[in-house]
Amino acid sequence: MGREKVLLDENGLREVLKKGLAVPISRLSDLEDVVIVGIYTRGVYLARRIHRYIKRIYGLNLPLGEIDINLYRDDFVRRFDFPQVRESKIPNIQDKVVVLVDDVLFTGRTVRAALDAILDVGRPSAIRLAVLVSRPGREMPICPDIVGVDVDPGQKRVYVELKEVDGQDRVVLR
Amino acid sequence: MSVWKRKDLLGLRDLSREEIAAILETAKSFKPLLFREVKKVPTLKGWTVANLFFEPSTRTRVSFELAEKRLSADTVNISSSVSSVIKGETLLDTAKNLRSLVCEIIVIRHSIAGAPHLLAKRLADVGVINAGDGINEHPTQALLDMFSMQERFGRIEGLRVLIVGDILHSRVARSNIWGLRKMKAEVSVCGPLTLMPKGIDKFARVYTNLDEALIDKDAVIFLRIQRERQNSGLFPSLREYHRLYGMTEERMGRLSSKTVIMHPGPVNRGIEMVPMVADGDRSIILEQVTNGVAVRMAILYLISTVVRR
Repeated sequence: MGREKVLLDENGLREVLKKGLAVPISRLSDLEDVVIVGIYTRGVYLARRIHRYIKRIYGLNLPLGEIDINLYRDDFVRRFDFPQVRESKIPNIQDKVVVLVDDVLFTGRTVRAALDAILDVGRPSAIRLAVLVSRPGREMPICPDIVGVDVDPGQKRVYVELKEVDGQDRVVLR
Repeated sequence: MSVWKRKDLLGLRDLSREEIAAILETAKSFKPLLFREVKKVPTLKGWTVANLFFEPSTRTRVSFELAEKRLSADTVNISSSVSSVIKGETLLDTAKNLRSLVCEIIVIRHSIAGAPHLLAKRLADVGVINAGDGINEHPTQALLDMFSMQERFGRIEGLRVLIVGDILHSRVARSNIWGLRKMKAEVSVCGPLTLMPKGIDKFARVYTNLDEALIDKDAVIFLRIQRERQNSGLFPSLREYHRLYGMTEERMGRLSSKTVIMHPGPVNRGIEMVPMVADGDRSIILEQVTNGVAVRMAILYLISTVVRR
């Protein structure tokens, strides 16, 4: 644990989530048409928090969805011990602007899979990508529209911990 | 911590409660896919699944084939009446040929109990799914039955389930008894004593009177009576069978209001039940058919995660 570095503590994460993600999303020109979709696991909780924030500040109750991309992965068995499939709950996205929310953007393969999963349930007018942390290592031509923090952890990995699953809010490199 | 580590699904007798729960949980996430506009996911793209049916079957074969196609696998169907089985090829030779054609999963139905187990043992790199072997097991049917009960009642534990009919020759009954007991349901069986396996009373409560058996049950599974057994001397006539063990309007009237009627299909109308029961609002027979696809998708998916390694 000695080589662990805290990138964001609880307050830092809250600030980035608000100013780095929720505010830029709320400034999208077509906000009325936005559907927020979180990618399992942590993207779902981030999406819920963003949704709550926009509702509180702007009084807008945007449609909220969650997506499980396990069935669309090209590498699911190598990455997961228990490739559990969860039910995707995607609201009507026809001609809407889908804002995909995930915790860390690394290779881009998860986003690639999420794009396929979204397109299987409808034809949105646009898909935007919002991530809490973006780090180098892309293996796909995928570029985020909204980024909370840009970081190069070198040999380390980025771990986003959230109260809902991990008991605390922070982002660490280890 | 992966619950599922098997490359084969041979029977519910071997499975743990956790493994059965994992299948039912996975099937639950698959079910909404069946009602989307695009009913397909790319999970098994590039995979080939062979359906080997050495016994006639329409419903199970179609259900498996749809499940495979919904997962984007390529499928080949081989049935005994048209294959080289009638030219004398052995089961193992057929299977080895399929492996040489690079099939990753084999679904097999065979009249000999243990045929899927033989394949699973001899083909170490191929996943094998039992779609019914002799009078031994029909695990996917029992899993879809349990899934349908769970969907209806929100649980399996503590449910009172009655299985009616030819228990002796029924692989559906066997798999259901193994599975339901593991999920802590209370299982009872009802039918003529000539159609009860020896020692069944150690696993289930035994009734010979249907009217007594029906009292306070949550789900009743009626088994298909194979008409050819009429000449075996195990029961006098189909007419008498229907009078003693068939579900009638009059018996429906005495059921508790929550009891559901199930049947693995195809129903012999007028024997296991009258049409009014099969088509009535207490029958979940057609839900069972839909759920069969979701359950088989879940099994194919879980097995693929192991075969792929």
